[in-house]
Amino acid sequence: MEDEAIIALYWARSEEAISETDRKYGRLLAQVARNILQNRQDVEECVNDSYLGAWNAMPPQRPALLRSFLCRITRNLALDRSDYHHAARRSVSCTASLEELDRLGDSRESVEEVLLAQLMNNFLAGLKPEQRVIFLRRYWFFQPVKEIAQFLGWTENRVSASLSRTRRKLRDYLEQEGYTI
Amino acid sequence: MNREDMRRMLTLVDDRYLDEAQDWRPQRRRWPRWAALAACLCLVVGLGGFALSQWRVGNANSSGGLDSSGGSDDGPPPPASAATPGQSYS
Repeated sequence: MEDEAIIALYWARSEEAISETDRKYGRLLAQVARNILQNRQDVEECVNDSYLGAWNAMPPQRPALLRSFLCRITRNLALDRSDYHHAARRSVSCTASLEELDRLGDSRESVEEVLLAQLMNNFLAGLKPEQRVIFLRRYWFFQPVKEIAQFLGWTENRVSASLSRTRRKLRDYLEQEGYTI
Repeated sequence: MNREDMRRMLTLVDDRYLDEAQDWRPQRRRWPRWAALAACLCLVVGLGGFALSQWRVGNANSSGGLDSSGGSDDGPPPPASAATPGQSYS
C-alpha cells in the first residue's frame, strides 16, 4: 500500500492503518529499535509504542515522508526507553555512537533548537552523499561500523576513518559558525 | 555547545536525509573509461613489442646462417697480401 493511503487510514481513524504500517515498515522499525536496545522484548514493545505514537500524531500531522516519520518516532521511544532502563540496556553500538558524539560537545553553552536544526542540516548539505549516509547510519540509526562496512563493501577501518573525518568536519564547521564545543 | 545539544542536533535531521540514508545503494566499483583505454593501450604496446622482438630474433638467425657459409658479400675485401709488394718489384 502506498504511504499516502496509509496516512489516509490514520486520518480516517481506521485501525487498518496500524496493520498496514506493520506490514510495510514493521521490520525496519524493529531494526531501528534493535540498534538501540538489546532486549528483544524491549524492541517489540518499542515498535508497538511507535504505532501508538503514529496513531496519536496523525492527525493532526500529515508527514511527507512516512518512513522517516515512523523511524523518528521509534528512535525517540527507544532512546527514552534506554535512558529509563539506564544505559546498561542500551546496545553496544548505540552506546559507542553516543559517546563519540558526546566527545564533540564539551562546552556548557546551550543552543536553541531552531538553530541546532539549521546547523545540522546545513552541515549535512555540505557533505558528499556517501559521507552523509555513513554519518547518519552510524549516529542516527546507530548501525554498527561492521554492518556499515558490509553494506558498502568497505573495510571497517575505512568506515571508521570516514566517520572520524566527518566528526572533525562537524567540529570545524561549528567552530567556524562561532560555537564553542 | 554541550553534549545534550549534540544529541538533540542529531534528532533534528531533515527527513529527506534519513530517506537518503536508507535508500542509498553503494556504487559499484567501475573502471573509469580512461583506465580501460590505458589498459588496452598497454596490452597493444606490449603485444606489439613482443611480436617485433620475435621478428627481429628470427631475422637475425636467418642472416647469421648466410654468414657462416662464407658467401656474404657484405664483408670487407680481403687485405692485400704482405708478399705482393715483393712481387711487384720483381
